[in-house]
Amino acid sequence: MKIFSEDGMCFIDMEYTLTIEDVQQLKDELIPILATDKEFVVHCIDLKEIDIAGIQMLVSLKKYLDANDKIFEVTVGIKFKEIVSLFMLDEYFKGAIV
Amino acid sequence: MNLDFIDMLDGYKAENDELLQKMEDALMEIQENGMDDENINAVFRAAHTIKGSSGMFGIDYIVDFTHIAENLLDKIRNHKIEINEDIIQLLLTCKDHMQTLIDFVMSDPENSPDEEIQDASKKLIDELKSYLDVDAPTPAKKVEVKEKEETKTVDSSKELSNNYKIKVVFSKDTFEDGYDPHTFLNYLQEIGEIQSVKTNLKDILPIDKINPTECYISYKIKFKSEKDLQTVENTFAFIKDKSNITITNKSDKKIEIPKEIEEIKKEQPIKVEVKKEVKKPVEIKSVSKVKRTSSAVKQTNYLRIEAGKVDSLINQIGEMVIANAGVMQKAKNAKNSDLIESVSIVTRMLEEVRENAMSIRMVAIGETFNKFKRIVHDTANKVGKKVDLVINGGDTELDKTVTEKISDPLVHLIRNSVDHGIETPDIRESRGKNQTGTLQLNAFHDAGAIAIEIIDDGNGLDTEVLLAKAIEKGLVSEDDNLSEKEIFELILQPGFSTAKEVSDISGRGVGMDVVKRNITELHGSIEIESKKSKGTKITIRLPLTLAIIDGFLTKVGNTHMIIPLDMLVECIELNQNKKAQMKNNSYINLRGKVLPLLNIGEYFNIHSSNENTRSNVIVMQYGGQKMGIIVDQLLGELQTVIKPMGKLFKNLKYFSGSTILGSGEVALIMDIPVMMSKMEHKQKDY
Repeated sequence: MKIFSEDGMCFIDMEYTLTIEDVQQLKDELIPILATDKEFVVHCIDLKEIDIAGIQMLVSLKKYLDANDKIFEVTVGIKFKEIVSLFMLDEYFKGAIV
Repeated sequence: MNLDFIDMLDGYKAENDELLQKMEDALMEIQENGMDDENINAVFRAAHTIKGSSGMFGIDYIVDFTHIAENLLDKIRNHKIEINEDIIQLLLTCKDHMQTLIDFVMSDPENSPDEEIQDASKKLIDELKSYLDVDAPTPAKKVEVKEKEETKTVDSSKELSNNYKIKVVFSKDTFEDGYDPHTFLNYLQEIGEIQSVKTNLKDILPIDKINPTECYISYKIKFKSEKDLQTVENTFAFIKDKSNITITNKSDKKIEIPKEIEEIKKEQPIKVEVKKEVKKPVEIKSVSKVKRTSSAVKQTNYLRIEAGKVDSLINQIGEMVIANAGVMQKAKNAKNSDLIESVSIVTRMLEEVRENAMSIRMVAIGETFNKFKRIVHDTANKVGKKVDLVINGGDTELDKTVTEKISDPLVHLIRNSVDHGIETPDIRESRGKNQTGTLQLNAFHDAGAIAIEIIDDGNGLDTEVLLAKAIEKGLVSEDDNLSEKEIFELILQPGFSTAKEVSDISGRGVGMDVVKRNITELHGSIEIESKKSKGTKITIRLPLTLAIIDGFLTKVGNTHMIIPLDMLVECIELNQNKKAQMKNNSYINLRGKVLPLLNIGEYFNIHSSNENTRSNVIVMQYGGQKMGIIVDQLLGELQTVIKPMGKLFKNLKYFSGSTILGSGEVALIMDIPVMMSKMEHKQKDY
């Protein structure tokens, strides 16, 4: 996981996994910049593994950003599409997918 | 079972064997020290995990059986039922039966257990239910009714394509318990067709408030399948205790997975030991990751590796040690000091790698000892005796191969001690002893070996009876002048038994010789000490490892020999002065004490290459005894990779193996315990 924050824009590269093993670290690293950054792009295109804890984390981040008038965007790959499709969450993420 | 998981069965068995052992240990603890929450929770957790993993594998007969046992355990841990000796015995029998069921899965994963096993399951379930019914008739009956109702529904819908509505509100602990809601959907896809999924995200908190390791998701699924209700229910079997699951069938008859018995659990959910740790914020950003479950934490702390891979690693390291010795030899021959220095560094590093690799194989003997609690308990019960088992030095480490091979001989010795050694309470009382006998199991390191003592305070061995029996059986003659120790050793002879009655535990005389043979095969030794009416002490000494040792290289004539470094005390030069003092005797005065000597050259008829070579005495210590070995040259320490002697030399005494030196020559590894024993007999002849 790599997180870059610059000029109010945060780019989160999840690299290969977004699972229960990553979510606490993701939260811990995002909390300090939530207030300062305006736009958050989560790069999920290269994910080799994603689980429901990971999806839940993205929903959680989106909820916060939506409530605070900030931007949430996500780039998606096959694994992301598969799980979102299985849980029929396409509609939920529709506007955020770039 | 679900045959898709057949490749994972080895892991399933290994994990469950471990859990069953934990279950047994905790039950034995309760028996010894009385009921305590920690131990009963450990038993419950083990049963719960076995049920969960069996459910995941689709092994219904284990799920069904464990579920009932779990119900009883739940009531015990919630203090609804008081645990007593009968219940402990029943739970121990259930544990054994779970082992039988798991063994059956391994032997025949595709089929259900045979009638005999099923009958045993039924009998135990009835017995378990008798406790449940007596204590809480209402929920038990309710469940029974519900189960019947469900069965009817299943029967009527068996031939139909069923349309199910499934609603799952996952418990917050779902992730921590090791489950992912995703898995259930995947499985449902395998057994039918998911028509729609409505995922409820409303309970998910914003990132500043969420605990990311808790599950906030719930979903509703429309699902079509040929499978019956039971199968669909089983998909969620291992989360049904904590999560809220409702399954409605085509006829819109709402069926809830029975929860009455689980109610108690809901009041007091299972606390996974690592939960608190998981909730702690991760401090090391880049490395730390939140772990999902107790088992996930285990996987982090303990990596389960196939034993063969470690053996292969150690063999390869062994070959590297030999190859490195070859390079060193060439560097020395070439007198290239830079190269010698470089090779020395590699040698040191290789030594560290070797030690680390060897440590992987080392396990605490306590794990094996703990299994004996049950054996002592069962054997004592069977023969109407009272025995306390005291374990000391359980954390002493030993090579895993040795541990596995020593387990059976120890079982035999322990059974013998309880069956023949320790007296019945009335006899003990009449002898002024405590009614409860004591059996001690001690383990400790002793000069490069591990010593295991089995000490009982029972009858002790009667030398007169032993000798008379041995003469009767023709093992010795009346003229033989045997020492007390030799008389005790008669019990290790094949066919020797003085037991007046042959029991199914011991007394057929077919065990002790096998014990001795097994120990000898491990290059170990067995020693017996006993006092009539006071007790018996059996000491087993085993090498710490069978793979690579630190050796000391010596030379006799042109033959290289290696002595295990751990047994070496000191080396002294055998100068002309000392030789004169010896006056052709085979002992010397070592700082005021007599040290018996064995001249290897003379004993094995090895001619010295140079008669003027100065001899050296290597002082060895093993099992509390000292002896000296006369060799020609001392060549220093050597990492010694033990190679077996091969079939042709399998009966060769005095050498426990061989190794290959850097020069390509073969060096023999001396079996010091055997040499000590030889020395002892030699002294006796005088």
